[in-house]
Amino acid sequence: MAYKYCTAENWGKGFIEIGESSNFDISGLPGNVWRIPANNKDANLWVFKVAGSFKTKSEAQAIVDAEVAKAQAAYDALPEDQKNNSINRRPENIVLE
Amino acid sequence: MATYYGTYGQKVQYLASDPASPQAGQVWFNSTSNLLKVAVDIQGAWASGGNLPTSLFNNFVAGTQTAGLSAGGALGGSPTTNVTNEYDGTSWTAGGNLGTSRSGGGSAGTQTAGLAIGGNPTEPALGVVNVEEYNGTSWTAGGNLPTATVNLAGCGTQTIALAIGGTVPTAGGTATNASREYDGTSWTAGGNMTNSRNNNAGAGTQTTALTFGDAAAVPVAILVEEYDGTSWTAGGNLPIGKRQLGAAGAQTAALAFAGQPIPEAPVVADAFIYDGTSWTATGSMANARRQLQGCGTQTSALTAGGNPSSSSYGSTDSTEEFTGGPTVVTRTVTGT
Repeated sequence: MAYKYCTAENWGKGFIEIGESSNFDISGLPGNVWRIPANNKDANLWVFKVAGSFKTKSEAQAIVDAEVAKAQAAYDALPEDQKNNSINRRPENIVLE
Repeated sequence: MATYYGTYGQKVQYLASDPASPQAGQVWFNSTSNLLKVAVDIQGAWASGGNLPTSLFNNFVAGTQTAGLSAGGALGGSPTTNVTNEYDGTSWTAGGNLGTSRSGGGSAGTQTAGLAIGGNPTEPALGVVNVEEYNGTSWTAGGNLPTATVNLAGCGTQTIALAIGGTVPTAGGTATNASREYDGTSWTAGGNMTNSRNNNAGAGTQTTALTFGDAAAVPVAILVEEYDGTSWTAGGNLPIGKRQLGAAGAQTAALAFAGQPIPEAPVVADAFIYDGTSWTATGSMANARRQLQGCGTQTSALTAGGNPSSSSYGSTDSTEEFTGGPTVVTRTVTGT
């Protein structure tokens, strides 16, 4: 499936409604990036509703990379004895589809 | 040319506004928006709820989708909080603070009769025996757990609760197979599970409980166990072995969602419903996360907070509401 990306701030109630999530997939990514199906009128209407800003895949990837890099830096700054245990792993890079 | 009337024996309704309670299959023309609409059945989907005031993970969550409770939790990293918030189906407002700041405990009960079981005041896990009871305004001490336990599951009510599994820091951080029953005053030993497990989820009641998930090993993480008030027996396996996942519902009508597939996979947003025998995929959440809890029923569930990262420094303020079963939503019919 082909995807499109946008940025939008999740304001909470009403941001994603049942009628929308049951109609097309909406996936949240770091940096308030949202992935929606391409060529989908309802998905485009949702982006309009949430005042989203469409991003190219490379633009969205850069936003996600920056957020993941922050999380990785926070992890790297931890004392060694707190790293790499069962609940605390270095955040993975995310590659957009 | 075929007509709608000729095919279905009914005319398309001509309405100034959408019907308040449309039936699945109902078709109408909205004369205000000039749109042809149809109501369709969905089998389960998530919607965003009001955001938590603060990003959290491993917070206690109890109650229902329209009367929820969030208490304590980790703020990302070591600090834990004692803050409580109450949900009305739209937004969160402050409630009374927990006596002991902590995260990663078990939850039971409702917004006005909640129960916070054990948990962890700091990272790395030390664990507490404290149990607290909420009355809708303030928390008071309940009967202590026999042993400090973290990353356990809870279910039931404030006065008839069950604590399931978890990590016992004083036993070298190992998982336990113990379950413990609460009568509103004190804890007594319940039946031991077949498998020791921690970072598991629980649903149901003290005498009809369900648990699944585990941090340690795939063979256990996919295994489901059901409790009858005396002993645990095997249920239908989860499709994916996970830890730190959310749960809601009952033993024969449960919902499992999100979490971290093991070993060490990225966190996920998928969800499955259980009928007492087997699991079926349903709509995925918008935001993948782990270290979260759920409340409510299989068809009307709530989750708030969680950790979207594989590190301990992720947290979210996102609330999501699940609506399952036959639910009618409106679609606008458009031409090509």
